[in-house]
Amino acid sequence: MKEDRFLLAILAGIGLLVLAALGLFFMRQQGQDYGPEDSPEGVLRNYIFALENEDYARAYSYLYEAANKPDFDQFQRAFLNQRLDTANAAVQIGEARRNNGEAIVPLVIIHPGSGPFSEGYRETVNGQLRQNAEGKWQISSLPYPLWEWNWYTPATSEPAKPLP
Amino acid sequence: MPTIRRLYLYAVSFVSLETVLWGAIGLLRSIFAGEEIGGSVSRLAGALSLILVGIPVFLLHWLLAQRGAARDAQDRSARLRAVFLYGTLLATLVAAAQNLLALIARSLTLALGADAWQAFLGGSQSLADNLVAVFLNAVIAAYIYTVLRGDWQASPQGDDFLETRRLYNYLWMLYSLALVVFGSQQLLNSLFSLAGAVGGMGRVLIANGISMLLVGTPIWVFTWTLIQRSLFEPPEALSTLRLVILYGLTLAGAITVLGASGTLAYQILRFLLGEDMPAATLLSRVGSPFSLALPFGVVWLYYRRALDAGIRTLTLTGPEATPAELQAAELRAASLRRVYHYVLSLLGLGATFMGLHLLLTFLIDSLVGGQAVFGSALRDNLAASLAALVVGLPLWLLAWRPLLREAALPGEMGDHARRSTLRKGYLFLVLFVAVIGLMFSAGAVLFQLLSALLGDPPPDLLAGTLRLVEVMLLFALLLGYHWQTLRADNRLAERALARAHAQFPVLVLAPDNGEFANHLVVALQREAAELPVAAHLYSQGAPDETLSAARAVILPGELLAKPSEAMRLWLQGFNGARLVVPTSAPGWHWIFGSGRTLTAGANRAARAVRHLAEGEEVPPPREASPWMELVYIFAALFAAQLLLGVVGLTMSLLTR
Repeated sequence: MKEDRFLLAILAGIGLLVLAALGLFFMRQQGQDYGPEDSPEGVLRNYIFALENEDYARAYSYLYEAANKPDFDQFQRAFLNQRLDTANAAVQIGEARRNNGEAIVPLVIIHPGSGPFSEGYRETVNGQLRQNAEGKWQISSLPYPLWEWNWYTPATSEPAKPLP
Repeated sequence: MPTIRRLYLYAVSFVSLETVLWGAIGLLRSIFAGEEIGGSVSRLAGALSLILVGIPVFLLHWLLAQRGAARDAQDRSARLRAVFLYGTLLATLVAAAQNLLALIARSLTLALGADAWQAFLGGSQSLADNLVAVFLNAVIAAYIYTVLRGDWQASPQGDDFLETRRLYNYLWMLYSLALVVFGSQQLLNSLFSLAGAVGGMGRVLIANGISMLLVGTPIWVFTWTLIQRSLFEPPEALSTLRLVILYGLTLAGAITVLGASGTLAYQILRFLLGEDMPAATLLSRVGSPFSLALPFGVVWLYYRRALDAGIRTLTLTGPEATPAELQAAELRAASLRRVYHYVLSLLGLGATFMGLHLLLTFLIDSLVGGQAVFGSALRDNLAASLAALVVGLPLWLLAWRPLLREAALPGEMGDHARRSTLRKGYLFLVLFVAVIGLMFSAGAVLFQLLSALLGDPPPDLLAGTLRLVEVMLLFALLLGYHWQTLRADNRLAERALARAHAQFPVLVLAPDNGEFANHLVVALQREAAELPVAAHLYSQGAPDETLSAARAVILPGELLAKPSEAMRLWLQGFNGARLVVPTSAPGWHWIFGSGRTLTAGANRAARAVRHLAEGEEVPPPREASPWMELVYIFAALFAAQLLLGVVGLTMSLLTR
């Protein structure tokens, strides 16, 4: 193998890549923190980061004030009982498109594979934010697993009709 | 008895015998099921109808088959009869073993405090159900055994009985080995299950494991000892079936260990990279892959040793073997061992490629994913990539490096390694995958860039394009490395072959018209340009001493049909290879190749000379029709599909 320089180069390259990946992983883990909230992207990032850190009160504070907003207990329960499981997703946040106090932010949600020999999948979706009266950006809609489908939808209170 | 009639008699006998047998089992079961309420009439009627229809059909056909076997020794020794007898023996004894297994599994499940339905087999059956099935299957097996013993005492002609018995023994060995391996797996898994969780699952696993081991171990010990003892008989030791089964077991063990170790490493790496995982969760996650890896690892190591011993036996030479015979045996052993290394190398390469791809995707996601939030998914991706590399890279290096070393050897051994069909197949398969992968990934990159240029950029253009470029580069690396290996092989092979061809002078004995000599010289030059070729007109008498030093002589059929005395004596005394091109000779008919043109005959002779010059045997003429080749191709495709199914099933077990 000593004479097979190509193979040696491949092995050295693999070694370097592994070191780089591990270095980056631990560096990023220590270096991540909340950022500024003056843009839709920044608000979204902090919301997801708060969920990652299980800081649900802070995450809840980023939700838009409107009719049928879930109360904090309802919000927190969705994550605690893993109806919304953010442990199995990473999110890449794209550049927001703004229009009259509303913003659409493209998101790529990365789901991991089920084992060492399978690749995960990624989906491109959108998040929506609105500016409140004070000009702060707040989240009005996000995809699963960052948001539950029935938040902000009116609860049906009509009793079920009996069968004829 | 014609084969088709024999097939009909034995097929009907088998089906009707099984009908009667299971009808009788149903009948006895309904008699013993005294406490059941309802359904007894239909059970009884069903069982009776099976017996009443089955018995006359069976007796009619079986007695006809027995009469034929008693009259004719060829009938008694026929493969179909052997398949029927050993097949029925297998069907009845496996059914008895399965019922015994159900009985033990259910009893143990109950004894350990779980419910009967939780037993993996026969959860809804009763003791009487199993005992009846064991007893009646054993009775039929005993009858078939006495028939078989009678046939063996009459010394069956040919190898049909011998080969069927061999297959029967190996099938038992595989069945019992599966029980032993999965029994051990269940027991090992139960240890992790008991340590990591609360609940009755561990008890069920223990019951399943012990019952499989109780039934499987004695059968495996008995059949494997029987097989090992039979190796004193040369047909058993040299059988292809043995080699195929040993290879299959070794590779199945290796593939399962690879998959299970990958999953094991993945779970441990997730834990090491900081996933919040309680000890109980970690134990339950590593339990399943560990419990698979350990017994399959033992299977791998044990049968690898048996395979090595088998290859040594297959290539054994006598004490008075010549150096050429010894070398031929060594080459044969090396080519048999090569299969194992190439399969493992391909698996290791695939896992390494996947690991590298996941690792680079992780780096791209982390570095250029916009304002990426570092979720757990990325940690899982990193763990998956490292796990695939931890398992795949050592496996690839361990399997590939001996192959590289072998191909770099000087001399005959290196030549054979470089020219082996397996090596070429491996290299071209990897090149094919790499070129196709490169083509598609390059197309995808171009599509991304063109879409952006034409005003419709994808949402994550930079990261998406980089991911595709990464795949493209990996395929390029795969292509570059294997292309370089192939070129190095070709350079060395061409040099060695040119040397071998130059040391193999060929003499063409030609009639007076120059056509024969011209065709041969042109064909030989085209096949191997370095071959020294001389032509001699046999009408001028026997070749002189210089020409007689040739290593091979090619002559037309007409000379062989009517040689002069001088030529006859010369041909008899010639030490090299004699190759005859079937040209027409009055009053002579060549069974093969008589209708071919002189050009076709010359080309075939030139190919034969090349094989001889390269130290190989001349391949026999192909007699198979193109339709048969098509059948083989479809059979291979079907086998590949089956193999993929098995691999998929194993992977689903691992990732469950």
